[in-house]
Amino acid sequence: MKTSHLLSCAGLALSGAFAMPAAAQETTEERPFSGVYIGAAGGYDVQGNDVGSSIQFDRNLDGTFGDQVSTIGGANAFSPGFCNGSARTAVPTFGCRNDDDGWAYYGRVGMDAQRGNIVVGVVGEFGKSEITDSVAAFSSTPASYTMARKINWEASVRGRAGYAVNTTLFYGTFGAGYAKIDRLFFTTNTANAFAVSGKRQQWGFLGGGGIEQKLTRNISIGMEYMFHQYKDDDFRVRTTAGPAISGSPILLANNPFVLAPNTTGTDFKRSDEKFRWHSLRATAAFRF
Amino acid sequence: MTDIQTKLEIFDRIADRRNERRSFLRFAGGSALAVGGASLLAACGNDDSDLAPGPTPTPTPAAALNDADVLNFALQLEYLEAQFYAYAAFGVGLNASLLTGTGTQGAVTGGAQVRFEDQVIRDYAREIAIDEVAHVAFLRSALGSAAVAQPAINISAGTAAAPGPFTAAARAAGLATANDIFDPYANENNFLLGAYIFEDVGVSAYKGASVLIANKTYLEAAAGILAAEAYHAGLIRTVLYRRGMGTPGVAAVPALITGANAISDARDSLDGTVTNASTGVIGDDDQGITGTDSTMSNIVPTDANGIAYSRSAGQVLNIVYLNKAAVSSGGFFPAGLNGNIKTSAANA
Repeated sequence: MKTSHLLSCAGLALSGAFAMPAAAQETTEERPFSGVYIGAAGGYDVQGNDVGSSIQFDRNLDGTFGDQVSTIGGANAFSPGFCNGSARTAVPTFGCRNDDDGWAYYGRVGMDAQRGNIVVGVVGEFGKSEITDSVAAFSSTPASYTMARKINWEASVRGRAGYAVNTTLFYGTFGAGYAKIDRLFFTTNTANAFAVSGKRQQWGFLGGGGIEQKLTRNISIGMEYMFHQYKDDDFRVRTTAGPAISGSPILLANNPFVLAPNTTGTDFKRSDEKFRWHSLRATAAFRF
Repeated sequence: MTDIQTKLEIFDRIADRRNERRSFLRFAGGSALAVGGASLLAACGNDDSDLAPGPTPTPTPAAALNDADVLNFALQLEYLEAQFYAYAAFGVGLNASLLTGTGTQGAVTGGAQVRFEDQVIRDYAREIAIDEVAHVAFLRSALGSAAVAQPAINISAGTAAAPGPFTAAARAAGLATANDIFDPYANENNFLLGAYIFEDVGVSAYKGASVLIANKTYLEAAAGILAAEAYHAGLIRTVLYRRGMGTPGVAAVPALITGANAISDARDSLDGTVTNASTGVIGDDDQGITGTDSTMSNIVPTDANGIAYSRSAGQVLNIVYLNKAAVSSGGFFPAGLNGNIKTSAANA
């Protein structure tokens, strides 16, 4: 009898514990997109072709870019030009690699509320994209200089609004992003020393839209397009005399980056100050 | 009974929900694996090192010569001249501290103190030696860590069977037969002819290299060295001419004039007689110490405009390598030069 009582108490407790989800299910059937969810998103990220991007120089270190880096003879030291990718070699003859597109993967958590066919919600996302955006310059040395940026991680909080047709949701989303951007610099120049600097955490925004389909009461999948844009204008490369020339007065006196009157050095910056890319990705969510 | 039935239904629902969760976890786990796999694949094709530039495929475009290349070339000519004059005037070579640098350091073969009988010539020799050593020190200071080491230098007469570069040059000029040696340290006259081999070369080398020096500070310094070399060359040519013509109380030594003119012809044969298309340097421009009329002096070798002539770096190397072909060693530099200018011009 005692055992029977205990079992019945346990059963009541369990039934109590599941009373809430049972009630929620009923609500969900009427409003399938209401509630909290966790999910994942993954796909492929691509970039536009940033034609015309280049590297700009601040020869007198006054903070204003657009100076010409000149050889001792007065000629433009970067007369071979620029390309919107990473340099393959020291000379432009062998071209540049295109920017790397790549996979992206995110985890997300969100909450939606549905009233009739209208769904509004908020979603937070954290993840990483494997894209790389490069720009290269070629000097008459000959030498090449590649400045690249990558996404170390990206976090975003976005609003979401959509129109639900039964268990299918069409939505648009827009919000703020915060990303840590890795800066990379490669050069074939062995005479100078190069120091990379700049704030790596940057604010941006994301916007896009998609479609979400509920498969079961708890599981939904979808497809989503997203545009990302981050301000990235802090990346600097300070070029100074390297060990190879610092001990040689004549090499110092002829190096375009440390020519008198400013013998301290030259700053590099990218002309394209925004990091932009497009995502096409699949989503999956578990709705509580 | 009804209660029991109700409780069984509850347990069934619990089991169903557990199966749903397991199903989701399997699905989600599979997705995670897929995403993880995709990221691994992406990582394979997206390594940072992929962005690094590779070596430029052959043929690698030649880097333009910079001022350091040109002054290193000049430095090595100065090593040669300074060692020759230092041994001739003082009997010792350059201090070891003036010989170090990048590239392969070499020793000096030959060199000896000349037994001067004429006080004036001895003083001239000492003055020139001090200037040449100062040129070495100045160029090394300007080049700093970029200065090249002294390469192997041969300033010996050698033997009849194994002639040194002075003997080889004298034989080529007809000053010595195939069985003779020419020792520039044997007497004052030989010393003057030996010095004559170098001095005009130095002047024409600095003038020819002037167009390659971009930095005006160092161009001015090179102009100063050129002027010093020209003073030296004028001095040597003057003394040769004066001794060749003789002076009151001193017998003429015509062999000095014919010898100097023969050396000039030999230099011409080495550095080519065809105008160099890239430099505009006229090959057949070296001049002896007499004019078309052998009784007239030609102390200053100039063109119709009174301008001293030039040699390209390749032509200078033809003379110091004693070879009119495109080679990278020989003659006074048996192991060649250090730095980026090391091949003579092709005049064969």
